[in-house]
Amino acid sequence: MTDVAIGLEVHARLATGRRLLSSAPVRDGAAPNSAVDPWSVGEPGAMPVLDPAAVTLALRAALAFDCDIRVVSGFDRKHYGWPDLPKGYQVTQQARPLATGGRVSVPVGDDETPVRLRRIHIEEDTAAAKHRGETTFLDFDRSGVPLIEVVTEPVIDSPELAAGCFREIRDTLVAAGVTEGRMEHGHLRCDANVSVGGGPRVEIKNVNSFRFVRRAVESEIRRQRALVQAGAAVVPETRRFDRGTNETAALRALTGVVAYRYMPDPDLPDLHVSRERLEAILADLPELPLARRRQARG
Amino acid sequence: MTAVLARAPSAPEPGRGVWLKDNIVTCDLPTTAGSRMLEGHLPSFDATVVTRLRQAGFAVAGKAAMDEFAIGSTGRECAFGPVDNPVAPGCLVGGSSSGCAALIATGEASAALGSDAGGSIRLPAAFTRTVGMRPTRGRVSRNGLVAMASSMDTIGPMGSDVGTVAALFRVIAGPDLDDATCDGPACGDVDLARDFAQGAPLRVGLLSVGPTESDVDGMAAIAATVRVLVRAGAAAVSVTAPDRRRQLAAYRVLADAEAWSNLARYDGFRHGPPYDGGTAAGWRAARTRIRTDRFGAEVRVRLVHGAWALESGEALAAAERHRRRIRAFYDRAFQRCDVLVEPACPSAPPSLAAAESPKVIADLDRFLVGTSLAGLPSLVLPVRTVRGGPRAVHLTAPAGADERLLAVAAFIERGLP
Repeated sequence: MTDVAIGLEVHARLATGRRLLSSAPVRDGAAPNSAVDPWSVGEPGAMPVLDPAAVTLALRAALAFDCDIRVVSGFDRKHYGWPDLPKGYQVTQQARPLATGGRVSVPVGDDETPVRLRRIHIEEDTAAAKHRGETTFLDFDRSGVPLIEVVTEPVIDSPELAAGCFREIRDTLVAAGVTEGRMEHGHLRCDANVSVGGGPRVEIKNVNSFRFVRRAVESEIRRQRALVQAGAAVVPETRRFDRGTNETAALRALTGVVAYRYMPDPDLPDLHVSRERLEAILADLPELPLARRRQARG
Repeated sequence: MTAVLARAPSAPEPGRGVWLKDNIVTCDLPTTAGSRMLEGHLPSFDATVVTRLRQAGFAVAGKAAMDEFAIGSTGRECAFGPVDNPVAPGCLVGGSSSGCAALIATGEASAALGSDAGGSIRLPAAFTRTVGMRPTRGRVSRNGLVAMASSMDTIGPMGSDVGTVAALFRVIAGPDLDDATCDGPACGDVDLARDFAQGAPLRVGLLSVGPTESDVDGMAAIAATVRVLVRAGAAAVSVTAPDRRRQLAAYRVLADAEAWSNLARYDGFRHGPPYDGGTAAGWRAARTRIRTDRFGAEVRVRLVHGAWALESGEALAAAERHRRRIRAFYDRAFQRCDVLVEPACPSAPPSLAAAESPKVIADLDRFLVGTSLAGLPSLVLPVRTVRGGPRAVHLTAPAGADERLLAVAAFIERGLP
């Protein structure tokens, strides 16, 4: 589909067993709020300390996808108000991410389709919000969990390729030991940005399985085409995928540029990555799916 | 007196008690940061400096009042009541470490830890004839300091004399794995003899002071200080100061932007008194209502300014450029001298009536924010009153030369009439 532009933002939980910026453990299946510490609830006075193991796994991911890795990257605060964000900001890497460029090689039949990446950066996860009727329950065990965000360029042109790309990202990260990849525990989340005919971009949040990525993107393309056909405008907005109806539904409007008021984080020094460290990580990298496929093809 | 927000259940032995500004977290005493937003808040951990004090045989005597969230320079912005100046009744005590300064001035405390982003230790020290030190950025852990302006916040010692301040610095200084920005060394020897060795006289830089920047008493205090040093063989060097108003402006942009960021977490849902406002129209509406209700006026003004500064990338960029210029200025100055001297404040502590003027308030930290922007160690030392209230000098040393700063201050203190 040449008039379709799809980009994916994949969040993967780094398999370090602890938070990105504090030492509280990360465990699947634990009772809610059983592993909180001052940093993860935004307690006044708590200070962040970067886990070097998280950086190592993020570098493995960047090397696995052949990215350009910054010698010096930095951490920024991304501010917005929501109950699942205890500090009122998320620590992320906006201005100087760990890695840029790179590509995912998606197997399509006997061939490989390259999908260019925009960036890979490190950030912390928010708390998990569960809505039950009028009440929202917050589990801060997820607050501060270490993530990498893998962002593709909007060069995916079909729902099948989108699903395949998500799968290949997961399989590569699991093979590289970056993530345990347990979808049922939310180790991987995927947002899909879809635009048809050069029109506005619509974001579909949290399509967290390969099947649903394909269905959500399919239904969104249909929806946008129908609107254009009817002479109506496609609203730039954030939508969610409803598994029951197999349709996307509106979540909130993307009102221009959201004011995140990015600010370099004064509590975290710049991250310096040496060539020696990269070479050591590269030498230790296990065989990845792409290499296995190439070998199988002879 | 409202200088005390909380007292330790049992009084420490004489000489072993240290008062803490109430933005230093203690897990056995409430920590309010002077705000109703954190009224009754009991932290789950102790600040690193508290742990170090205890390991060195000190005990926390109690928590001292402060301008709310360390935002303010007057001592009038504590949500639980303004702090009086025991040394100059009817006048400002200065802030934001107002309670610490007042307790030392009355003799109830001999030692305290305050915090200083843009003068918050040094100004109340100047206004109460006590000693206050702002260490080099990165030499004292901020783990457990309720953050305001993260790139400039420091915890620092306050006391009735330089010896007390030096002893406290020795306990608290040193790298901390819990603070990624604290990698400076533990306190070394405080030994002036090295600097005053034969053939290597101490070079004292006299920062220029504009005709309207300080009054006669302030300049007399400088003169008295320089006399002590020159008599002992030091050489006096003139240093042209940069525009101090521009420093104040740059400081406010940076500090308010960072304060907005650091206070974004206070929504009343996780820390502080439980929100009891009936049904909220929605989370955002409730949050706005709680913040408007529980933040004082000065905090709210500064938060709005900070939000604007972050929206306007250019304001922040200009302030950062100015910060780099200030750093470069001090680097050049310290090639020609070993310690810088200037008045600590423009005048004697203003009366409460005079303090109604925003211009007067805005000017209080005029001499103090430069070293904040540059991350340099600086100290305020009282000089005997000539007339008109407490006067003090502001000493600055190069980054990392905290020991020299303390040694010079001790020498001046001994030599003053």
